[in-house]
Amino acid sequence: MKGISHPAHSPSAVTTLAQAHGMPLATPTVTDVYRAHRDFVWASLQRMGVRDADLPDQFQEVFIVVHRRLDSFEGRSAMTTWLFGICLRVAAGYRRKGCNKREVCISDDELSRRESPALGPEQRASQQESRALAQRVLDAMDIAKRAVLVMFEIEELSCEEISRSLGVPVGTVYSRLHAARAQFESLHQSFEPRTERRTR
Amino acid sequence: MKIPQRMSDPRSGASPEIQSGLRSLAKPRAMTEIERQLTSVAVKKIAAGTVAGAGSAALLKSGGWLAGALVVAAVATGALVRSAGPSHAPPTSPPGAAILRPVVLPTRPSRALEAVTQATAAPTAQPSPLAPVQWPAPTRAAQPRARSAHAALPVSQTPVAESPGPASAESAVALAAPTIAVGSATQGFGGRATSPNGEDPIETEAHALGEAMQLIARDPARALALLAAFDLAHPSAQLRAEREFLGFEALRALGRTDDAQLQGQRLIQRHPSSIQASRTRRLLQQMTGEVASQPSANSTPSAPATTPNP
Repeated sequence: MKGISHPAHSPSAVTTLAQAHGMPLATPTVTDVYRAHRDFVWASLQRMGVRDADLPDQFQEVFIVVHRRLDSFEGRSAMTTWLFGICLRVAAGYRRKGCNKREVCISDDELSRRESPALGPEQRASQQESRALAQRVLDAMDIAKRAVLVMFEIEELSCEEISRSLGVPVGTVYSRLHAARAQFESLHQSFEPRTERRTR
Repeated sequence: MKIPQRMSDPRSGASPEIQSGLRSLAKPRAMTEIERQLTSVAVKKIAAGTVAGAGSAALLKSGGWLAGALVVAAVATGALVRSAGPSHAPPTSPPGAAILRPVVLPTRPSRALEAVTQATAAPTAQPSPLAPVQWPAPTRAAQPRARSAHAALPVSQTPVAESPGPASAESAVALAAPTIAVGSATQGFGGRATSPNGEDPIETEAHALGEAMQLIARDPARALALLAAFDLAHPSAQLRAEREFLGFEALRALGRTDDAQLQGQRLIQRHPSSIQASRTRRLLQQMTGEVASQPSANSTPSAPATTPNP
């Protein structure tokens, strides 16, 4: 689980989950984990670059791993931290297989939702270029850094919210965010000149 | 510790390109209701040990027809559901194409059967092709309802229940539904035979549609009866446009051109902006063209007899 720490002081996710479901203290089942954390897993995979078309497949990959390894989860870290690590591995495998290197099709609805209707043709083209470049940079980033960057910069979550979501200390979020922004800016600079040359 | 400023903020000092690029990127979207149900079913099967493979590709491959049906439903209802196609397939087409491309039901029943057979093929043992399905208890079975599929139901070909009960054809069909034998579509996620008598209505409905789709090729009358029975038992089901389209296909396969046209027109009226409506329009035009091109018996008495449109 590269880049993910397991703070020993985190509350036991097993305890929390069991209490939330009114169950005696016992290892939760994969169904319990699904009910409690499906939205987190779903969003995390998107933050890590899993395309919409592949989301259901990768989502199930995550829960297959959860099912296999749930017995080994000791509750020393938050459940979301553990799940985030699984998502990282699944997303890394997904990226290695080149699934996300395929052309991305965006529906007209999605495009119109992302673009401001007030923009003129030139501004719109410029915005499309900026988006394409930002997307390329994100795709080239380290997955864990990308996820934190997306949470902070795109979803506009606060560092405290990210900390709670990932089950890591706020300081860890700050340091990861710092590293992620540095990588993003560096990659953006390296990609930008090529884009400019191509558009001229 | 200083709270970092967002790069998309003009005061952050980030370049305008970065600001613009970050602002234009979409946030992660939430799960739609259909995706929630689909993933819930899949996780239940994972929990039950039905899915033990290295990946969910097998799961999704074996449930390919279900995914297709759900995609059709999602597009028809305007939801942005992404196709659950096998992700580990060679990247011969962009992933979004699976979303944007309609699920094309072959016009000829034999092709429909091939497509469904391929989609449901799995390395595990196949259930008996005539394994009976335990349907959920009909909730409104005895209430006759004027619905499209059973309006054109081949009552005489439908097994009649032993119950002396209702005399209406619709009720008889609804009661007879549990005795309908269906094909290998009883195989669900994970390649194991499953009963559609689950708790998830969408799963039950998708099972029914998959079974009907297979039956269109070899027994369209039974497919029609199956659709009608399900229509009665589940009046609030969601995949309505797809169900009506399968009814339309079954009628075409039976050679009941007039009924098929009527069914098609109803479908277009009810779901004018659906994919099924556009496909139905195209097929109706083909049917009209075929009928128009057929020589009249009076004008050309020596012409060979034409076979009904399958």
